[in-house]
Amino acid sequence: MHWSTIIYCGIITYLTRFSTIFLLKEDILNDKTKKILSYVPSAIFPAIIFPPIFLDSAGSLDIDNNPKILAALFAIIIGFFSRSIIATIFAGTYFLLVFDFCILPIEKLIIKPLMFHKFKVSNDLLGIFYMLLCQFSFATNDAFVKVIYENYDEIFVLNQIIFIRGIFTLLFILLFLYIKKEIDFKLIFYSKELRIRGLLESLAGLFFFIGIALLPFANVYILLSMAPILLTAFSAIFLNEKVRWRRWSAVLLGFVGVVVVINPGKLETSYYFIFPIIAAIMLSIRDMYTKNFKKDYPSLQIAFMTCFVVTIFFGILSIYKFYDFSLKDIFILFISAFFLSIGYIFSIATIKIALVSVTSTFRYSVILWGILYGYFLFDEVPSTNTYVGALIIVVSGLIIISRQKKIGVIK
Amino acid sequence: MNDRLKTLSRGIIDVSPLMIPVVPFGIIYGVIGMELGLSAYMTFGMSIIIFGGASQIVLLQLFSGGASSLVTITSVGAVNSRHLLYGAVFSEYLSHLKLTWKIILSYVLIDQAFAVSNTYFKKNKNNTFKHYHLLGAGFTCWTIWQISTILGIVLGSVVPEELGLSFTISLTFVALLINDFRKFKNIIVMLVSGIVATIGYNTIPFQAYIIVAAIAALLVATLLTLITLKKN
Repeated sequence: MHWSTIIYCGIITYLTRFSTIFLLKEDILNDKTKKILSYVPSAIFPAIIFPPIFLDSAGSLDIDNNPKILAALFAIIIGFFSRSIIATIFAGTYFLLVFDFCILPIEKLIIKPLMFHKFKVSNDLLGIFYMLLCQFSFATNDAFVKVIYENYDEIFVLNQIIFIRGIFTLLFILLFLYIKKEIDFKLIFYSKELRIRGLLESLAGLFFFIGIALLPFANVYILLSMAPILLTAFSAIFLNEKVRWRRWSAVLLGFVGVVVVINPGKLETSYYFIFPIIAAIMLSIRDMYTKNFKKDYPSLQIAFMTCFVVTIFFGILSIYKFYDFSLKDIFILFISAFFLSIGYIFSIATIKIALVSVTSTFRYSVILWGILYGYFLFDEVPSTNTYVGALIIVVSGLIIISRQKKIGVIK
Repeated sequence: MNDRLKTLSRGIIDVSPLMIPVVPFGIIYGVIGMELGLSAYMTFGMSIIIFGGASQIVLLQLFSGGASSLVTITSVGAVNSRHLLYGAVFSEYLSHLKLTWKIILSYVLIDQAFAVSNTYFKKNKNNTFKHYHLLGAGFTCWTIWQISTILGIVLGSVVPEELGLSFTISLTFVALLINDFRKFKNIIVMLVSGIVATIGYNTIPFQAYIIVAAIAALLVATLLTLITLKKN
């Protein structure tokens, strides 16, 4: 590239802007010309858009199994409804990332461990990146749920929200399963283990979403972060895992953090705080149960069956009261389901690509997303207590992770 | 003076919401420029000299495909031909201005500035200082574009080299078309352009596929326009 090319292009660009202002005393272009000029973007941009999508790097047509086409279609759908430029770009990029993960084996990802300018990116760094995306996806999905809940402001609407979102999510996961060729309904539906796990998840979801509905958005995540701490305590009590004084003190510290967040002196959020804690307990039970699975299931199959049971569970609950959702609500739920399913995908990707001890630290990024969404969507400003408590819970979680790594419980 | 300042700040305020998508666009541009191996000066220089997101990205895309300067320059010209329309619409409001004003305002007459100032001009035909609105809007865009380009250049040296950004370019342009997806005739024009470009990518020499596709699609657009005008 020469400077001269750039300068010529600059001159051309400038002239197109200048010429008509300068030359025309009055508006002399007739309607016909104007009408035709208004088609210029439609006439030019597709010429730039199509070739990189439909052609492979060698320049031959690539339609079979081409994730870029799907991603572009998805971006167009999002653009059509949202009319937002950012949403369109992000949706497409996000979609491609996910599909890349689904279709290609890990080593062939577009974003694979690459050379940064100075240092090599390890799988760990990539794992952390996936974990951040995963938590972001989950938080976004929950935020959308809360948005719809606030439209109706009745606790029973949650049942229908989760039911409809579940149906969409199942479709997405089914698509991913199909792409990865892991559809095995016999295995999925006949597994008692997966059914029980789904039921546990449903119960956790029930309490979690009540929390999402009634508590400040960020607080739910902070309290939910007790799950790994509780898991440590439960493992010690029920699974006879050896836990010594360091981890026990971390567990205690975690509870101190909860007390600080709840702030019993003022009890800002009344007793609703109990819901995310119950959800955290249910999640730890779920994880304890999953640990003892007799069979190895592909993670996507676990996600599918879990989601299936959850959808049925809330489908039955939603019979209690029916709400008339607008098309917009359903569209929001569709997006929400999309984020939920890619949250699943990224959480699987994280585990596959990097060590748990490295990535689980970044699980707590969800608190950050929670605070951001709370602030921007729901006008919630966290109190000092919330920050301090969150910090204490995160620190206690980190102590547990580092100890587990040292004694070799996790890798 | 007060009126001028007021109009100027009105322009800045009006255009601000449209700046949100400009930031990622600028960053993407900067990153791609670095990824293609351009120097930081060149990448940034382009933003100053050309100052037009779509043109700059087309330039980069053709450069990476090894197109000749002539084809590159004509393609950029084609991409920019929509600006003729902006000038034509604005000449009604700006024809009384001095040449210096026209020279300055032409530099910043980009899509976003046109969109907000056009609305403002229509409502405030009698404001003597209405061109200050365009000045404020235009230079806000300019500042934001330069800053985000620099951000992209900085990030470009951090972001992995093989990151598939060619797709992001396509998405950026998809995003620029979102308002046209609802119009049936525009969709026909888009399909013509896209299909011609895809087929022509290999068959049309000198990487001239963008121009050829654009001309073909504009012909179709002209036909469609003539047909509808006749009907009315």
